[in-house]
Amino acid sequence: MIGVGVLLKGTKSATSTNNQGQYALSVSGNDPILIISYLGYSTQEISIRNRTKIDIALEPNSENLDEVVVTGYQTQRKKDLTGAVSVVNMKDVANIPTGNIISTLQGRVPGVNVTNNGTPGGVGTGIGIRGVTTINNGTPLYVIDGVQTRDNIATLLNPNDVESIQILKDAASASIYGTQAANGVIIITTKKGKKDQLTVDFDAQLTTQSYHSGIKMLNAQQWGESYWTAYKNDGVKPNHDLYGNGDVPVIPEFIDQKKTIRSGDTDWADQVYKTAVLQSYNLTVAKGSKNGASAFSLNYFDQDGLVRYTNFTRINGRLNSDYNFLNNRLRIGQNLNLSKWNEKLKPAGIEELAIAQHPIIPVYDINGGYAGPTQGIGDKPNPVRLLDQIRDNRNQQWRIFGNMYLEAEPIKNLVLKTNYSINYRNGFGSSFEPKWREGDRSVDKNILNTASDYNQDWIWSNTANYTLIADKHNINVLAGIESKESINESLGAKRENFIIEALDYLYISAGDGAQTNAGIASRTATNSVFGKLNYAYNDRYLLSGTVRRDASSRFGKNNNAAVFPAVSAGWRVSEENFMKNQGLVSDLKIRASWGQNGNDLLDNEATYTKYSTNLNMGGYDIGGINRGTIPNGIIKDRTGNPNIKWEVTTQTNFGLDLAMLKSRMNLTVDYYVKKTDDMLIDRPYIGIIGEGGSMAYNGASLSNKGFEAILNWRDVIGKDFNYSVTLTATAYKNKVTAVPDDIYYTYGGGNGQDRTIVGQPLGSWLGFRTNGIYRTQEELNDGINKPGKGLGRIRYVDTNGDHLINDRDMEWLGSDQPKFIGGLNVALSYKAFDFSFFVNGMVRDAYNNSKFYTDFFQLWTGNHGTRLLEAWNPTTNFNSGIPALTAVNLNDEARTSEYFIENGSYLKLKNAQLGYTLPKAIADKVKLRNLRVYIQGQDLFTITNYTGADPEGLGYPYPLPRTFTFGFNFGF
Amino acid sequence: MKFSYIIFAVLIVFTSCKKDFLDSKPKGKLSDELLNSPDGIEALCISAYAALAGPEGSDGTFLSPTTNWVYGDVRAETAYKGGGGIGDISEFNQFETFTAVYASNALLDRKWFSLYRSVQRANSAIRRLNAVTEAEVPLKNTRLGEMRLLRAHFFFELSRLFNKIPYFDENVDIADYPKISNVEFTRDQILEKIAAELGAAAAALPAKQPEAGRATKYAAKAYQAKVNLYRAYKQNPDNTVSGVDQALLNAVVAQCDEVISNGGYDLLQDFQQLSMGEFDNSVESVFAVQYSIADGTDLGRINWSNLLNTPRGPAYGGDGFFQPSQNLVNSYKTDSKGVPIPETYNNSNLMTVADGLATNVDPRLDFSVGRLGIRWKNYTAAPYGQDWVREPATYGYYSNKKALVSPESPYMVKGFPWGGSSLNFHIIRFADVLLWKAEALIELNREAEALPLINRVRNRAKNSKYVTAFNSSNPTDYAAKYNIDTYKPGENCIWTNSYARTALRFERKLELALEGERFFDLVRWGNADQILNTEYFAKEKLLRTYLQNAKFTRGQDEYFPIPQPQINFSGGLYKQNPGYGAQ
Repeated sequence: MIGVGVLLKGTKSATSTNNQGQYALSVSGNDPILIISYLGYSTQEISIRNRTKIDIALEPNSENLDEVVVTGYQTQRKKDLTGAVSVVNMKDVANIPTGNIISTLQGRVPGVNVTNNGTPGGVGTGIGIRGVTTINNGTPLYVIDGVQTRDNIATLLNPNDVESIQILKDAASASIYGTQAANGVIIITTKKGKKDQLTVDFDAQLTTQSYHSGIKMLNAQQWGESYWTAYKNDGVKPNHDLYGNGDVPVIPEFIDQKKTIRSGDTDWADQVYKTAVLQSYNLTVAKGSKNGASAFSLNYFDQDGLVRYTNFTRINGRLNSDYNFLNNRLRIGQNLNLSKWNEKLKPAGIEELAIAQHPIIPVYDINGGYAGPTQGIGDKPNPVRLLDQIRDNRNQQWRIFGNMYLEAEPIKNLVLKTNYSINYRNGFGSSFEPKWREGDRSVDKNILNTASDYNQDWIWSNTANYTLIADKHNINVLAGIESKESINESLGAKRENFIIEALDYLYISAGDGAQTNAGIASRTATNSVFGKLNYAYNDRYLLSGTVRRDASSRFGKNNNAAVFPAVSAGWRVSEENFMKNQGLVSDLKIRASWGQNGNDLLDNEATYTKYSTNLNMGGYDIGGINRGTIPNGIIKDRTGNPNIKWEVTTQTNFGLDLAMLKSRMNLTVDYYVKKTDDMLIDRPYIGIIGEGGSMAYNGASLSNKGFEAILNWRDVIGKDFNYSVTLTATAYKNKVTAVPDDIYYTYGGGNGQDRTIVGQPLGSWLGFRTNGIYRTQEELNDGINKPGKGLGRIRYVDTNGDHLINDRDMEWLGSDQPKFIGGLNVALSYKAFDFSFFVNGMVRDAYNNSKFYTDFFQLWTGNHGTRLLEAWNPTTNFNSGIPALTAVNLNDEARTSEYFIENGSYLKLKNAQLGYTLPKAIADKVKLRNLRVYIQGQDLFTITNYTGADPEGLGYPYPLPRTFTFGFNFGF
Repeated sequence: MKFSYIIFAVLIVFTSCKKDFLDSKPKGKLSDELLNSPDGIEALCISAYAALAGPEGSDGTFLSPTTNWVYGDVRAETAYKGGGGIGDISEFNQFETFTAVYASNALLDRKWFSLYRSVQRANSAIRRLNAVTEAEVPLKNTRLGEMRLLRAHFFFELSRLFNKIPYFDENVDIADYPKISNVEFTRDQILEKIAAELGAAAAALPAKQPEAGRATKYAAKAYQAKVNLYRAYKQNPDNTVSGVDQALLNAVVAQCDEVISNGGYDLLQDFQQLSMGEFDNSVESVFAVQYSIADGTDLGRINWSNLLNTPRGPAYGGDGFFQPSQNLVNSYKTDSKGVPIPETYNNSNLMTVADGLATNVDPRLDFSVGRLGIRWKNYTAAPYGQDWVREPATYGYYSNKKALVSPESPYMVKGFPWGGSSLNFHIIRFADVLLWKAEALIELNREAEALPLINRVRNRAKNSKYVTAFNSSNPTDYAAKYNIDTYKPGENCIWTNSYARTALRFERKLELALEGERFFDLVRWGNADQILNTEYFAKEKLLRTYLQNAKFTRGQDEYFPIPQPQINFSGGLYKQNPGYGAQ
């Protein structure tokens, strides 16, 4: 191995291995000892004992116990941690093409559920830590180089800048962030300059993305045949305005009476989605010296979406620097990220439209205008028109994100720090709706909308950190205060009637029609005090306590402060004497923690009763003048509740960290119980109160119990073959545990009578049980009274035994919350080649609402799925589970029922990568520090029984692309 | 290093002493105190009027329409839901077919809430009006009268939709709302209170208002007559009609008389004018919802209740809801002497242009219903055609024509919302007043006095300019064989009391078709069961397969169920209407 460090113990005499793995070092002294070290391998001490040639075999050590982990306002050695903290293995996710680093984590970090869709830039990515913590906003807190934010990090962080990600999952780890911590905390540090090095790195990626998920839909002829079958099944002679009234459906030449729209056979998904390109280029220059270090990076990221014209481009510039003075007793530093991004958003609902639009409609009419629906084939707009309309929309944002700090160490081990962070975002958007004509629908006026807004957050934190090491005692105390303020303000204008629809003409002042404007603002502020005490005895017994008090402008004076305490303890069993002298267990730690957190993602103004003038809802033409200026009316918006208080999440965690077989195997297991009480809900209220009765109050409770584990095995076979296998597992159970009496049966989807969400997972479906379909007359004679039942129809279950099917038969049918999330990462390397792949999967139920289109001809006159071709038929398809085609919905089959519920589990080959790194010997010759080229693919295949578009994103998601990437990194 | 201690201390002091740092008031919102000013009160009154058009504004009024097209016509024999198949707003399909109408139906809860929002807008204005002097608000009493009329209107709508309703005034403290039951007052008592409120409003209101949209003395009087007419038909606990109260009928006659003789109202000359924005606030308009266009709102305070109710096709591009039934179309047949044929009208179907030319037809048919091949208002490009319909296989080829303005009209929005217009919607028009009086007189066995009233209404229809055949320049080439005459006892009818009753009830169907009143008429008269099940569904389902399971259940379907969420919120204090399970 090349570059292994060899140091003569107790001296400064050192060398490293050459490109043949050889080394030479002159030694002297009494029993000299060599210290052999290499990153990622256990450091060894070898006694020389007069030998002149010493061959050394290194043992990999995936979990370096002295590794430092960034936690709240401080760093800790990993071996001292007593809470549940996951550290992301950045090597596994480096080079995955994405605008959002979080999007790569699904299945890789236990206890974390990442939801992805294909929205360019990764802005559609969401993350949930340990179940569903709250019915309110469940976004975790990001702390990037000490700057706290709840913003989507796709817009402020270049994935290439990320040095490390640690996820604080339990209350004890996160509680130093108090009211912001209930949803977990994700701490990200960015790359800094390294001491005494000047490095330049350049990375480039080119990725193609293709559309691969979707639902098979009928073509124009099949649609007509389905129509014929449906009407024949109903005993009615088929007759359709377009397909005629013959024995078989006939596609007409034109679908409109004016004969301007030729019948088509359009695959609308093909019109909406295209293969797209993603590119990313990154330059990092870092320099370190004795008195400081700096790193500068520049990134350009450009992702076209699968949906035509959608796009995300981002330019990021980052400068991180730090300087030290007075023998490192005074330190000054800053991290600054400037980003500018442009987003072109898809038209709302375009994914659903690609399924629902009728195939007989062509894209264009014979005059080149847009075609549209005519009679009997639905009334959805032409997706191509909608896409063309967004083409010139603008949505541009700037962000300044960063911090500066001053750190002093007046006496040894006492560090005082003041840190000021800022997160400023300014956005400008402009969208234009041109005049349009589509089939026989038209809009004869055009509208320009422009809007601008800014967000201005600052946080000022002041901390003192003192470490005392005395004998076997190691004490660390942290104390701090913090203030933060967030202000948001927006201004928008709208104008109608632009004579010329030329891009450069479309500015508000150029229009000459009606104009309206809008502006709104909001502000929130918090003051906090916090402290933390860590105590370790003899590296064996670990104890930690945290307390934070937050006072917020979101609550009334009487209730605006809350205190969040936490305690945790650890026992490093492997340090005990009885564990010495055995080769099996190299490290074993048992952990337990308890703590409370809050959630501050709540309405800024919930304590106030608010009224507003609202022309749209309260204006009235009292003078009967018909047009002009009408008087405005005042309506009540909300009722304030001055007594609301924080939501509180209480979490207990038990964990175990185990390293075995000389740290070849590492295992971390955690079990937790997390309860959220006093959740703020908007009170549904008795109707006679009228409008503005909505009032926030502390009402509901949730609980999550979960288990998570990560297992890693890492070894070397022979000299050159390294391999590593990582398995993660996540499981949790969520349920609602309390809801106020007056909404006990109403809240969360209850039936209002005798079915409550309490005891069920949040988001559970209340609906009818089904038992296949009626296939025989015998089955029909089951004595159940259900209007509309018949052969080929869904057989609803009479759950309460009254021989009637009505809303009293509805039961809880489950939820789509994951039951199990798993991941398997395998990384192999042989000499200069490396190969890795990652498989992830989920076990869960899914409510497939696209069955509305695919399975029920009677519910919708646009397109349907090819599943209809396999619908039940007494002679030709007796065993089919798809209800017979019908044109009338006598059986009311759109109702929420088990029929729509499917096994939504899946297994995906999420990522595979093959890389080649230029051997160091050659690299040195061409004066390169590093050169690696790679190809990789994402979302390569999926195993699932789900019949909707993609089990990873239920409903009508922005589809995830299948991607292939070519990329290289080089550094010197 | 003392320096850094000092900095640190300063920082602590600085961050903790900014006093109002944690005090953050809402931006761009009004607080309660600001509303007690005269301007604030006026704006509250305006918002109560705005509730006539639906308190939801443009966003959701179509799901709880204030024009009652769903509740009054789709539930009656006059119209289908229409639109994109029966699954398109399936709640309305459930109302139409009277199947699976559960207390959990979300659109019922929405309608209930919509009406109480409206009631409370009036209450909010009344409370603040009560607290000011006439010196501060010179029009205090007038505004109070207006607000009481509006509140009475909203309660009346609640009463005829839901029957068992919580009734209260502005004086009940919000803390006591949980104690308000929906069975504290019977239907009779509630209607009595509403009528009394309208009487008080009439006393406070001037005969004329400077602004056309405001309620007048005679609007209140007319409304009082209407409520008294409903009161006159007493109902048993199972919703059946137990008898007709003569004293109340006399009150109806008296109140209508006042409106007729002193209100200064008349019928418009031409029936078509009822569908023209140019005739908003005309001589026939007693009380109407004022809609406006290009008024500073995004899309106009147009009739959002009608959002779905325009035909698709070249002229409107709409969603095709609210389609007239075959039964309604057949009702417009007349005999050779120009009078309706209520016994036999439904024995055959009047469908095509040829059918219309082969039989005698009331001209109001082609003002109210779009029929294939017939001229559509002033639209010149083509007659009403197949491509104006959205789902003919389910709902046939008719479109509602009456509530729409001509596509050429300046009162119509261009583009979305398709065919939306500022055409006012009549809560009360003069023809209705005439027919109420006629109805009361007939029930008082004074049918002879009712005759001229009914004939006045028919005469206007007769004297309207009939719809002419498309592509014909000859104004006497009518689109159908129009033949209408007034009732002429001995000549074209025998004016007995029972004949008069049938004639009156039929006249209401013809004159007020698609104006959201029919179902309430049937329930008032107590013949919904017979009309819907026997006359309507039995025949109509042969044409419209989806009506196969439709069935009106007596003693239940006269009223909607009390929305289950409201029963829950009341902690069980609210009682359910008969037929819907738990009482």
